[in-house]
Amino acid sequence: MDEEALIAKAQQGDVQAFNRLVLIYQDAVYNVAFRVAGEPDMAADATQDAFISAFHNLGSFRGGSFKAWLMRIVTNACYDEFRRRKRRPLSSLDEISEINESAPILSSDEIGPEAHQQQAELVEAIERCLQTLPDDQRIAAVLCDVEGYDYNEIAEIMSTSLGTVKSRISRARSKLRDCLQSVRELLPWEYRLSSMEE
Amino acid sequence: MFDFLRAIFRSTADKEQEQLSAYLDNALSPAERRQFEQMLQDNAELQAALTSMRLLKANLRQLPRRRAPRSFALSAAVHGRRRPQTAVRLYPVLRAATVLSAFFLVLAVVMSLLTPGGQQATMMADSAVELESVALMEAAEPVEPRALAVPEAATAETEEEMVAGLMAVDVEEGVTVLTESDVEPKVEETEAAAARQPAAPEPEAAPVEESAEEMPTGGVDSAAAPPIAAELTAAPLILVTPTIYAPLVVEPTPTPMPLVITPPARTPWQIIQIVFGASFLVLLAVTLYLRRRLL
Repeated sequence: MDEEALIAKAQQGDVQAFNRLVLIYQDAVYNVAFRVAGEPDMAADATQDAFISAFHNLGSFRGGSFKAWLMRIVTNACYDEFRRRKRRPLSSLDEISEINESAPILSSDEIGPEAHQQQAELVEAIERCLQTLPDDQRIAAVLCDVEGYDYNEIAEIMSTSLGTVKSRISRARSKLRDCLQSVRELLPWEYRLSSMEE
Repeated sequence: MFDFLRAIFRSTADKEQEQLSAYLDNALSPAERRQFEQMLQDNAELQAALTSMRLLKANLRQLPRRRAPRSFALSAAVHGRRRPQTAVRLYPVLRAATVLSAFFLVLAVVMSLLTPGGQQATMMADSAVELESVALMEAAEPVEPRALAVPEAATAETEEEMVAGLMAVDVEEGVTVLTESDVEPKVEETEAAAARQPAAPEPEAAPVEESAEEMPTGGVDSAAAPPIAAELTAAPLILVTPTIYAPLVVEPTPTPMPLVITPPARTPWQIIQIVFGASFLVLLAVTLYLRRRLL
């Protein structure tokens, strides 16, 4: 059954049809939530809230990209989680990193232990730097550079203008570059951003 | 929305950075792209920035994909009974319509009170209704004095008592009062009839019209009554059985009342009030039902 038929059945209240859509998109939705939230539990909560919200608001879906529509819901759910967590301070970034190391990774290429360690350090550094960004810029950077959405889709997902998206992505990249250069001593040589400048 | 403001206040470095980022994502227009590439050729710093930005983008893209820690499928038991979409969409509309109808109802009431024509018409309609109801009530009342006169006349044992009973009847109420000339022939006739028929039969109910014709009542007033009574008192005893006088007494005839209740005339304001009132009640009921179903 194609996606449109599943959406139509889910709009009629068919939970099983909706669950098939959940199975298709749950990894993508969770990844965005995780990169934006930076913490697995918060990402899982935001993902679950997003799917529940999507099911209850399927009537408002007027066609187009269902994935982009879902991403819009999950980013809103992340905003809600941020607001909720601001009232309750989050655990430290060290705890997040410890959790991330044990998290399952889809792209588990056959690499040696040293390269795996270097890659883990790079990932950790990027995730740390991502968490230093303001929420809007982090979401824009994740959607553009991690998930690969174009500017128009990001503008739709974030319910903002194309100019704002351009500005947010540009600022996010500048801050990320500065952040990663400041911790370059921790990075392997080939991953240092300034290595090609020198 | 405030892109133009941002364009005014941002620095040249910010503009360059944005163009660089957009160039990297292939988001520049062909003209902007050509212009930026010309600028890039002459600017080594910009080239280095482009290179580092490209590397950053590649690193971000290579961030490992994570598998969802669990299934986020919804439970059919919890989410199976979804709120019907039609009802969900209809609820705010109905709520607004209920509020509007209540508002218009109040407005119609206020306008009918404030408008002189409307108030007058309302009062006229009310008075018409009152008059009609009073007329109906009067028509429905039984003529009690007539009914009361019958037992008195019927139970009178002596002539005096009977005459006194007759005198007690109110003339104004149209009850027949016997005069001397009327009584004597009648008494004679009665005696003859009594002689012919010792056992008095049940009194026949004479119609009111016939009694009125046979027994003229005009010209008798309360002032003329005492002499007649005196003569009657002085006259030899005449036995008058109650059965004789019974037909003469006008009994209350149950006139058939037309039970056609005409609806009172309504003013336009009243009609508007009824319409809005009814629609408000219906909308309120439907809204409350939907609210109970959805929440």
